[in-house]
Amino acid sequence: MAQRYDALGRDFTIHASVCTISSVIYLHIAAKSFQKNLAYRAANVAGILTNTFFGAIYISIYTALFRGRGDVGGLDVRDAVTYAIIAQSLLMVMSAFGNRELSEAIVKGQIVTDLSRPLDFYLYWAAIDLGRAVYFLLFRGAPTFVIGMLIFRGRLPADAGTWLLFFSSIVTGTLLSFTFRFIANSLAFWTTDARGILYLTNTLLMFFAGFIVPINFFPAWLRTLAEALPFRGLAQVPINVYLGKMTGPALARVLGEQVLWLIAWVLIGRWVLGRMVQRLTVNGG
Amino acid sequence: MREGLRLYFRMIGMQVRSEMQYRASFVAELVGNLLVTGLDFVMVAVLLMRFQAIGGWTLAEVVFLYGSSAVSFSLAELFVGTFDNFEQWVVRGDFDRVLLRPLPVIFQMLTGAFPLRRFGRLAQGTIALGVAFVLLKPVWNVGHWLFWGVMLAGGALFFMAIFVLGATLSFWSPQMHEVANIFTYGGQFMTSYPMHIYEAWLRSIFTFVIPLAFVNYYPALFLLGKPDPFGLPGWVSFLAPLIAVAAFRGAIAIWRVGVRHYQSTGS
Amino acid sequence: MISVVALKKEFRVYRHHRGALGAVRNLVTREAHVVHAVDGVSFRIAPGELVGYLGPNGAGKSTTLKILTGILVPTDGEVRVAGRVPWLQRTEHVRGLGAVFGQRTGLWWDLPVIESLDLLRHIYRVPADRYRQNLRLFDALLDLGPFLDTPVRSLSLGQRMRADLAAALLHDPMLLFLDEPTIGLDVVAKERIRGFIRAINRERGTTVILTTHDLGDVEKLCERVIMIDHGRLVFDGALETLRQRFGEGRVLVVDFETPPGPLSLPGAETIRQEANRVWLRVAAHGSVAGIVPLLFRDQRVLDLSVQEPEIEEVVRRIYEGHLLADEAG
Repeated sequence: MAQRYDALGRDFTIHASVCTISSVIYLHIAAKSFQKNLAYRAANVAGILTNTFFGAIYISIYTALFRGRGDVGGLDVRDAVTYAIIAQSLLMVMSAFGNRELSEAIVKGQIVTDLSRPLDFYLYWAAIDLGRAVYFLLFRGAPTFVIGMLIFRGRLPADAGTWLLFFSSIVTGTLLSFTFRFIANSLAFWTTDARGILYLTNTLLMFFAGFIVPINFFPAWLRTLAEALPFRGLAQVPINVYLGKMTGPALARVLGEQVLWLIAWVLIGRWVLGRMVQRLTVNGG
Repeated sequence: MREGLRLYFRMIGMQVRSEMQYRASFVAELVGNLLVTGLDFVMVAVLLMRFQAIGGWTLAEVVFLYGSSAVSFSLAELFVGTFDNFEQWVVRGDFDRVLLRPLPVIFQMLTGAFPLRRFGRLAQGTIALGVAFVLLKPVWNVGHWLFWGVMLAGGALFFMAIFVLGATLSFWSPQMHEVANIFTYGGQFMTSYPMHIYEAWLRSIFTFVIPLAFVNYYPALFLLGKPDPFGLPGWVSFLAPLIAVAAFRGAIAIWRVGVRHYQSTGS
Repeated sequence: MISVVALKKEFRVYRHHRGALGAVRNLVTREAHVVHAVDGVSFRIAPGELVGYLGPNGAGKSTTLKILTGILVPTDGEVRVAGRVPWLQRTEHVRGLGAVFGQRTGLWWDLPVIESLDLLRHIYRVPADRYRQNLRLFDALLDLGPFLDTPVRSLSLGQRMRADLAAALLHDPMLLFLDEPTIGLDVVAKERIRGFIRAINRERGTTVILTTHDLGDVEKLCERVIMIDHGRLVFDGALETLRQRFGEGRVLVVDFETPPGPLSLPGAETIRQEANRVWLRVAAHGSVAGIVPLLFRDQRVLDLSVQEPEIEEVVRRIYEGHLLADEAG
């Protein structure tokens, strides 16, 4: 955090100290972002209906598949039903469909203004994403989850500790999602094909997170691959924690890995940002 | 008629040329679309390889059903793509421009976009069908092939009707547009699996309220030589074209009512 | 050409309940309140007129224009344009009109201007030689040449407006609607657009209706002004009448040889004095000729000029509502 970025190459040391003192500002930015999303109420209700509907289809499919079977890949039919409910609830929290806000700001040149603000650009966008994630957790994820549980009778976690672990894994997942998307979106700075790239990266993210099919059902080789990648932190990990399928040392190892990934992505993201600023200050945008 | 057709191709040509302005992006999006929509196929494959069967249908049979649904849906997407993000047109007031031109509104909607990048879905649906035919090795006569063609066309027309209806919602509330996704993308997802696995309420909606089952599931029952688990008479498999045409005409009629409710943005 | 009788357009605006529960309630019960965007407006416009349609933001200008072009269906009232009801006979109606809605382009964003014009030719079925002739004329008046092969997205605002104007007139419409045609343009670009509009109106007899916030447009183009506010007609008549009726009178600026003492002149009041220069307001119906001799009576006058009321000022006062009460009473 020693580095302060100013696209216009101005001396930024004064701002830097102001910035650290009033890191409250990022909470304000997050709150603003939260409020912005609040405006789309009808769209959100429609979204809850959509998520519930897709959940219902998944549940029908799993129920039919499991007919006459016990455990498959460590899940039984009720686990699978619960998986479907939570996956639908987490979709928007984790931005599983991607989010092009940053890349669009880059393409439109908006980031020159953003960069010249006395703010840390990375934290600025992190705050925006945090506000968005909290909004979707409360107003999309929670209702979808409650409705799904009531209609389809999923499992509830064994104890309060599980709830706690579940929430921490959601937080980790959200951060993983943001740090990864920051890098992917930043590529818009160097290529005009950002949309295509985001499309591709997002596909990978969705699939290897376990949003489409639980990784538990993957064939062995694909499962090995999925477990080596960090994306499962967005769906597979939180849901398995919730179901009590991931506990003790195994869970500690997985969460440890996720934190390492997170650090790596923050570093890469900041490095990419540095390059971007360098380019802007040298070429003047 | 001929002049109309020429103008149609001229206007589609404009859209295609517009899209080609961003060639690299186009290629990336085409591939992206192939992969994203391919995920549905991967899901079918992963699940059925793991579980062998669903509701008494084998992998090959489900892939056949899935491929047919995907091809129908992608054709609909290509031709009426404008309707899919129509809420944007309403929000930005772009629909004004349509109303200012001396061409029928529907004609302009059909030529308002031609999202070539969505060929990805068509491509993967075709691949799925190829896989299904290799696995099923069906012994079909000309009648079967014709019937199958009608089933695909009927499905496409029916999905078009749903896209049009979904767009019509935007005239009243652009935000409610997402509800349309339930019936468009949700309908496609749902018809990728045999209808009888769904709970009664879901099944009833898609059989009697939005009779997608008749353009997809019932014709497939006939082609795969399966009896209807709900005991409807065999001829319902042949209702596809009738129902599709009726649905499309109904959708256009409702759309027209919507157009008169259009409240252009601003004052 | 155009006749509008008791035109009304109401919009329903929904009040939204707050919070998550509110969102669900919004689906069931929606409290609507009605906004009267256009509230009983009537006027007639004859062929060949060039009319400025004015009013403050939200007065209902665009709504009226959108009804006249067939985009919106009015709540009540009668509209005939060239004998047709715009929203009922939409295709025939729009074939005979051109429209440019300021900020939005009617061209194909990613393609060169010429491709859009060429497609519009086919849409409006303009004969090839007429198309070439028009293109040549518009090129001469608007200097389209330098950017005909440039994609619309890369045009400057002024270039885009010129291209849009050309596109709106390719098919020789009898009627042209312009919504804020000079918004955001620099002085030179504005002049060019105004010159073009005037030329089209005079030489082709095209009826033009334009809304604008730039009163320069009105002064340089419009002989007639229709003004609305809160959806109601406030004024309809010649620009000159508007000036006379609502202007606070002319101002006489007099330079005396020596600073004069307090002046007492019938029909004029001193509004400002700086050394030997004095500003006198002549009452709206007063006469300058009657006052001038009185000035020469006691002092030597070095210079004298008359300032007409600025239309800008007149319109500002109307918008601010100073004069509406007088008119109503």
